[in-house]
Amino acid sequence: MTIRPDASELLAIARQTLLDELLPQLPANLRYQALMIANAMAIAGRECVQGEPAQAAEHQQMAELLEKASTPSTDVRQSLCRAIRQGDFDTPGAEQERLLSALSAITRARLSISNPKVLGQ
Amino acid sequence: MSGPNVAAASVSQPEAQVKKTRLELYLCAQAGARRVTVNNQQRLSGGAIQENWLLEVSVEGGGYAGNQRWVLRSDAQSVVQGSLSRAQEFAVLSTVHRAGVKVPRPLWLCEDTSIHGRAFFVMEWVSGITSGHRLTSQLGAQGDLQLVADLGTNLARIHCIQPGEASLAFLGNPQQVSVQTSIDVLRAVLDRLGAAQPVLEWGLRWCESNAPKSTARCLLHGDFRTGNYLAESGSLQAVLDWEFTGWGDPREDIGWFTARCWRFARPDLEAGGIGTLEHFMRGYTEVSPLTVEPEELIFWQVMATLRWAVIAQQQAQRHLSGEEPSLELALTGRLVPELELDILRLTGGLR
Repeated sequence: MTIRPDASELLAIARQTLLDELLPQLPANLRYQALMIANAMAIAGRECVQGEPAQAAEHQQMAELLEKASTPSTDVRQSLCRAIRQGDFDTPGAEQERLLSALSAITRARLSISNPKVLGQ
Repeated sequence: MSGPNVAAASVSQPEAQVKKTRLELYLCAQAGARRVTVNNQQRLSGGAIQENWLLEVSVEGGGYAGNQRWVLRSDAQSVVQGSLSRAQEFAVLSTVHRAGVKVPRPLWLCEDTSIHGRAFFVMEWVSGITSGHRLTSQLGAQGDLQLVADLGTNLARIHCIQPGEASLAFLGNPQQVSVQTSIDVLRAVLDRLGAAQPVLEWGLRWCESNAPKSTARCLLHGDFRTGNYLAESGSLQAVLDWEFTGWGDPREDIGWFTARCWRFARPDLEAGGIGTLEHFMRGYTEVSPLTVEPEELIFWQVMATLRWAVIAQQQAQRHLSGEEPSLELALTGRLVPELELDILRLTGGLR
């Protein structure tokens, strides 16, 4: 089902209206709240577009680390957390490199939704 | 001492007036005055855990005669575990005030809940700015030399207070504080939240393997960062928010203060977005000799970032559980990926 404008397009224009038309009229004590709303809408808009592929990629990367591609998503995360906590990735080498590459990629993908500005710094 | 009079006066007055009268009689007795009138009271922003009220009062007679601005600090409705009681916070404030730390001067502690409904204390009001964004967004290349040195000096004065200080016995046994205990606590919180976060696990494991040798214990502020002090015209006015005070390694406070997540508009200025580490430590070592090796600082910055990431998830959970619906709390949960990036970078794990 595709109805245009879609969710992310609606969020984008709603946010623009908030910033261009409402914000200048708001008293100073409500400015911070309005900016928080705009930020929340921007995150939600990016998640509409990138959320699903990012989550699928994240699952894939974690599963590959554990070599258990079929486990459901939360179990993969929990298993990976347990393995890290137990020290399975303590030794520098190929395994640790694979972990750090995956964690870096996952974190960048999350940031490109939550706060892409940070990626440029 | 003023109980019977208050009861007699309460018969036909609305609740708010009764409460105000009760408070005025209390303040009057404490200040040794003939009469105290509260002309205005206003809730101050900040402090989800405590309530701070600015009291504008007229005092007749006694050592406080004249117009005064005082702050009444009480618990908020919901009490958060792990932070100090008002009586304990008052004891801390009194101790650090005696030690020469810039704080609002503590005046009186009232544990009699019949006065205000909850325990509270009164301190002098101090003017200044707390907002991290405002304090960091107008600075030059080097930041604010005076303010950052003041911050170093005052943190060192806090750290000069040693375990054994009788007035702070309630802070517990300093020998039970350890990096491993802190790591265990953070893991337990993550497990309780059901927040399986591989990057945070990586950071915690890294800290477990890379903990520096511990030093002598001293008093820690526990939340010493930009946003938790008042500054005005480039100088420190008062260090605030003492509810997480405890014993520990002095470098822990420095790691928290310098962690990237508390630099606001100036991530390039390591000392709280206000100045360079060098200028901060110059102020610090005027009071107390302390050398922080670069790898020690990194370790404590990782610990700080982990702690804030865990708190951020707890804040998000307060929203998600319906306990306290709030856009600010919800957005705090979305800060976690930035903190994860910092953790990867600091631990040499970013690829």
